[in-house]
Amino acid sequence: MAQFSDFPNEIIDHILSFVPRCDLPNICLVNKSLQVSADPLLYSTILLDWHFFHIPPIIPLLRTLLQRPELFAYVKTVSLHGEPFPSRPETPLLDMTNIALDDFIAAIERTQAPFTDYWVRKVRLGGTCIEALAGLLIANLSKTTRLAINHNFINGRHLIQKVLQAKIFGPCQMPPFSNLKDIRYYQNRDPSFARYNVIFDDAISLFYLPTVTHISVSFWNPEVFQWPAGEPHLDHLTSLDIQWLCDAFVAKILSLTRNLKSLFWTWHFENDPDDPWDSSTIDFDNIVAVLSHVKESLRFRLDVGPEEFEDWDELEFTVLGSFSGLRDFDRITHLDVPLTSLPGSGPKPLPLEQYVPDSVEILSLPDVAFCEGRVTEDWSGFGADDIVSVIQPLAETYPTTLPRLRCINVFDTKTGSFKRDANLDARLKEISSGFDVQLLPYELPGPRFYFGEG
Amino acid sequence: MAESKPAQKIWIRSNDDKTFEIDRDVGERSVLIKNLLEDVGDADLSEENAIPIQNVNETVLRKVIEWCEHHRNDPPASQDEESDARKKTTEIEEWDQKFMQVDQEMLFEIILAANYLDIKALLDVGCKTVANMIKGKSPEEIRKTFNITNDFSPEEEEQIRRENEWAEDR
Repeated sequence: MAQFSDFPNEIIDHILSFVPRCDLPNICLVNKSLQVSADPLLYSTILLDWHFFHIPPIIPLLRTLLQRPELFAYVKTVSLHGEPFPSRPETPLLDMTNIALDDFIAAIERTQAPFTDYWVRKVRLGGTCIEALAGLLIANLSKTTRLAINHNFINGRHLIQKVLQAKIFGPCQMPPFSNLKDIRYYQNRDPSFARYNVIFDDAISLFYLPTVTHISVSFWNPEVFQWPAGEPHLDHLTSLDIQWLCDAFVAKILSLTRNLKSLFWTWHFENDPDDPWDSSTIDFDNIVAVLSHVKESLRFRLDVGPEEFEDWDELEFTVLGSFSGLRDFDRITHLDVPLTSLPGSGPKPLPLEQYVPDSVEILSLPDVAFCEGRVTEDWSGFGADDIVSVIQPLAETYPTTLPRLRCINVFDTKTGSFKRDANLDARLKEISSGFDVQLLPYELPGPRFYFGEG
Repeated sequence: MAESKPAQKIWIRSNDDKTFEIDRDVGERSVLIKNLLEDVGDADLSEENAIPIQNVNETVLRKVIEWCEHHRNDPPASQDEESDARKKTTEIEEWDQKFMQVDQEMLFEIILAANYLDIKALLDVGCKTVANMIKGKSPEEIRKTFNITNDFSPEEEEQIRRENEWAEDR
């Protein structure tokens, strides 16, 4: 009868694919044949977590990888993740006693990167050299498909950035990323802490990775946008998540894409004096112009809104233009935009026919007003009459005006549940004709702008 | 016009010469049998001309047919999960769990048969069952469970422990 040892390798591999990661080290110790099957799985994912109370095991990991460099080829996913430290001088230190540094230094020298002297010095210093060691890990990756580097590993860690740049632009003896599909390089959103360390050149160089299909990246706006090595080819890019890059610069990136299917763009209007491009002026015409670069490739889902409504009351901003340019975007299927108002006119909903494209299937209308100046505290949302007056004309002209419309969601943004007007729901039901109208409690949108497949 | 017909029968024969008559859609849970049937005209299907299943004996084949009959109406398996993505779940539905309560040799025979007959869902259930037997066990317990000989020297074992020390983090 059958024995475990009768299983061909493909069955062993299949069994091990169902075993949790934490069991893989034990499986490696069972016998030689199982070690051969388990090694690729054990090394396929490397997650290094670095936070104030935890130093990642980068030294034992690198020691093994440098002794058995064939293992680098198994590494498919790398995540260098760490919560920000409370302050830099308190960075926890690596214990470098009893560490044979020679292997690490030899490996650094083999990269022949122009900054090896600096790199070796960093490692010899010990203590805070986690970034130098993480750089050595990145330097040797070749078959990796997903790479995420964030927070602590970016925050002022210039060595990791130098390694990435050398791998992308050369000259060096590091293997290139031959199969990288997904790169995530970002900070959290705490501007007081993080974003000043995100250097524009480091972030923009990721766009020269020739095989990636997804990029998540946070920026710090430069004075002038300049491609470091000529315009990159971005036909391979299908998904993009950009944080903190102003509209004019996003347009420069989007204008080079041809096949983008998903775009996630976060931009803050908070009038940050340290950011030359941040302001308190929201120009909807500009935003529509940015998006027009991808209106042919993207099936849109467009969400616009404040990140948190508590902040909303305290913002002062100027609104220019309107979303009326969206009328020409005939691939938007899901549209989630505030019941917005024209500049200068005070809180008053904008007629739907002025901005909703024919292609829209699901329309969501939170009752946030963009109006000139501050949203006053005593303004408590649109009244039922306002909302009905926006939807009523559509009920009369449907399906000529919006032939694909299936559903309109009206949200109560103020209370989080629809207590506002008991009659509104019934009135909305009355005017729905061929499409549904629902009054729903509103959940906070995550980002300001989200564009993705519907 | 398509007319409703009684389930079409096919015949398969184990490697110890036992012939089973089964409904065609039950047999087609096996990609191997499905592909074979595509190459054989309906006229050539007969008990005398049963499809030989060379690597599977009567006992195991009976068990595999039982599984295919229970799962005859399952939707086709979703394709193209990313090949290197770790499987998320080792959950096994209740009927399959009971089905797999067999001795270890039979479990292994079912897995080998599912692999040979190319019945992915059955292969998954079998492999998950074995994976669940591995979970949380020490190397020695795994060896005992599956009667595996340790071919490492103590020095080699120590070396591997040291190599994988980083993975003990968390």
